[in-house]
Amino acid sequence: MRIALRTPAILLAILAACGGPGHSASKAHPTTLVITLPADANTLLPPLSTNETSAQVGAVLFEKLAEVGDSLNVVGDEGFRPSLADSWTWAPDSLSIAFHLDPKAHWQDGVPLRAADVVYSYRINVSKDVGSPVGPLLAGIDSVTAPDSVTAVFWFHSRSLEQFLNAGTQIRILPAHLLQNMPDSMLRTAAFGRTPVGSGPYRFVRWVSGSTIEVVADSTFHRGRPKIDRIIWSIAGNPDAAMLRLFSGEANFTETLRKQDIEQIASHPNLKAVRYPSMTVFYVRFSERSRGWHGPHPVFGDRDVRRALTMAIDRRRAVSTVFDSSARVALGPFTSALSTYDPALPRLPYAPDSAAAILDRRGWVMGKDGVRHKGAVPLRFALLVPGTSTQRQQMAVLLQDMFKRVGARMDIEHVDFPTMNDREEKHDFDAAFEGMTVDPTPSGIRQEWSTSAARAGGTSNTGYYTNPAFDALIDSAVAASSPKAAIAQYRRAYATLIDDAPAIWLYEGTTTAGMGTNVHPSHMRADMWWVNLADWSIDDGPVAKGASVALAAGAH
Amino acid sequence: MRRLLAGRLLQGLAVLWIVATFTFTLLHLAPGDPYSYHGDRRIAPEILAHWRHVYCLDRPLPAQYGCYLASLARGDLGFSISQSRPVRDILIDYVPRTLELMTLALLLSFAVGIALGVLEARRRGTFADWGSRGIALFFYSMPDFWLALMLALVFAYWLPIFPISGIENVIDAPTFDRWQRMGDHLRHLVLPVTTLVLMMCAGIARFQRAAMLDVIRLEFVVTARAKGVSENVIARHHVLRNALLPIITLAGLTLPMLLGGAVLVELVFSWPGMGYVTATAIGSRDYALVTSSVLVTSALVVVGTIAADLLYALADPRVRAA
Repeated sequence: MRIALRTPAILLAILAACGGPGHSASKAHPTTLVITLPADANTLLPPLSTNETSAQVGAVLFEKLAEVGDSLNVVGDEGFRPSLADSWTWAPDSLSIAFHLDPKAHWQDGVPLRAADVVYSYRINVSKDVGSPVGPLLAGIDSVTAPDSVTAVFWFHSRSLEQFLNAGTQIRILPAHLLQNMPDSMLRTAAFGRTPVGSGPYRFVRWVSGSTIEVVADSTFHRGRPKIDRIIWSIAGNPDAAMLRLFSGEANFTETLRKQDIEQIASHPNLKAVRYPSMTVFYVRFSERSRGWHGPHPVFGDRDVRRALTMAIDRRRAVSTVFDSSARVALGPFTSALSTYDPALPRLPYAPDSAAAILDRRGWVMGKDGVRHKGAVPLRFALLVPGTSTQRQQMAVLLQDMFKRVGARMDIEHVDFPTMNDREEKHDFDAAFEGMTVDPTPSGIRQEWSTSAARAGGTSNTGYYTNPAFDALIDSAVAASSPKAAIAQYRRAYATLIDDAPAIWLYEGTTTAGMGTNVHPSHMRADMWWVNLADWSIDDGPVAKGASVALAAGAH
Repeated sequence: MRRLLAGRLLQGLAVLWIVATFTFTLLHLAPGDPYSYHGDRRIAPEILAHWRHVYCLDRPLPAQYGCYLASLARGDLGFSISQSRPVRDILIDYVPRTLELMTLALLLSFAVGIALGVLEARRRGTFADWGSRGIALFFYSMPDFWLALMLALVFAYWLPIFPISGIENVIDAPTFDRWQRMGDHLRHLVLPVTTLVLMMCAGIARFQRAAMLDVIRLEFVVTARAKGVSENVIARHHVLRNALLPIITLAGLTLPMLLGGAVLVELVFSWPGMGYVTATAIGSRDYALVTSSVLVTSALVVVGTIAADLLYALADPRVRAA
């Protein structure tokens, strides 16, 4: 019996000794950034990638012709950084741009990267058989040609201030010599999507489904070897597992910390929290059409009622209650990181008395039950809230209370994301608590709030907000002859939108990343924090796993 | 025996068809489809329409059901939209991981559970009996995700003996030789397997104890004891063998757990197996992946039940004769 009891203990001791922290610390490590995140990539073929993990890995494997600068300016070509193209030339009529490729650029299988690859990549991104989400963004491009092996010329249908952005930064260049013999419709199932060959600063090593994606620095990269030797994306199925990995040293970077994690990290000697701007804005969208699309919504079809309900909300208090200082009140469907942002934009004030007066004026009479009625119609509506978002749920409860004070009753419906989107798409909702990652392209607002977006259906402008004045201002901004004129028009459009109150703009988040104190990030851009990964560095010495010993000991 | 087997196989096929239809219908009745959510980013409606057309999602439900059955009949389990690859490839990646985890957990659970059951039955009413049952019940009554988190906290964070999650040491794995890789993999198995064993062995021990106590009272055991056969021999050869029949049934019924029994444990320990992938697929309405996961698990239930019937027949000549 004694032997029987000892055996499992001996086995456990042997297992505990196998490849444990001490084991790895004894090896000479290359610098390794281990990013822990919740979802696996779907594919590493950029035109078809639809999730953030794919985007992050794709960004270090494949290059664009140019990159948006840290200022996030996207009009004209000011601030853009060379990437695959080391320079570019505008045609005198501005209807074409010639990108001059770095002749040293090459694929990681040794084949030189040439203009034919650019032509091929454009064709794949607009191919109907491929169905890339990037395709519609390239609608302004007429064609791409290759007058010589290191020059790719983009030809445009018409001039616009976003020509350069669309040509230079929307397409990641693919190796034509490896893919061009494959029918477009088969690209989705191509093995290349799981074992890619790129031209970027890192070289693909392995992808263990649901577990790990690993890349290593490419010493032959045409713009110089990146500073960190290896990057590993390590999939953790839930936020708690991700945090435990960070705290135990199995990972040394996570892109998002929860409020409670930030407090814990502050007391940890080997970890730090780094705040960076976000491009995500959160708001309550009103449906201006009734459920089932039978005429105007009984409550939100009236612009004055929408404005009154917006004025009933003390947004500053709601945001500070839920987020403390880690989020700021949003002005509209854009964030302060955009070049078109203006803190002086007019906004609807918090004025519950004025809100009540407007509602009185519009015929909404306070009933004995504390809810206003207009005839037989009560001022009552349901708000769709994603059940997985704790912060949105907390804020919804605050909104419910604030609406109640002016005689509006809001019911909260907790749903999952697919249900929420499906119900919005089918116009089966009154109001929805949405979060949207804003496109750095200011004209992206057209896709979400224009009349054409409302008429197109789908998941855009599901509230059916329409205002010809807003549409005209956006059209003018897109067609403006100078960045300055464009920005002025965008700001006028924003003011119109805010005044119409198609939504209550609640907050734009800042995001806080957690990382080892020896990790030194380069500029973390608001729209894609990972863009400058090749410029990040890690101090010499024990990395992730080696540090875990000190972290775990330090914790106790 | 052949007729029994043939009958069971036909029943099994009917069950699989019903399960496939039921799962398909339920999934499609839930709001949304695989293209209803792509994070907070927007995808142009024309692109969504294209994808929905490619995967028959724009057709009426009966037409989609027809597509589904036709592809099943061809042995094609479909294409996973959330993972952008054929479901067959995903199952090849994920099924072995869950089988490995659950096989180890089930084998250890049965070994420990049977041993505990025998111990409890032979020392009925003693401190060992009460103590063993109490401890087993303690673990049995705990939610699995909580127990998993506590084990991770104690044995991976406070006492950093075992890794917190995953299936390998992501940093060093590429430099490991075969034995190091195996040792590293086994270390990653320890906490999830321990969680599952602690959860499952209590039930098995109770079954075994009850079965042993039933058999111990039977006449042939009394006869053996009267003949002077030692208690150890009676327990091993006379009581245990007869008391194993209910455990065989239990083993057959737990076979489906091989694929579907560790969803929360897989999620807590980030063990990329079928539980993990199915839970993720449900969230993203990945119809093909969810229906295939359910179908494969159902197939295991069918196989498990048939196997239990056959084992019963082998273990008990009366069943064979009937």
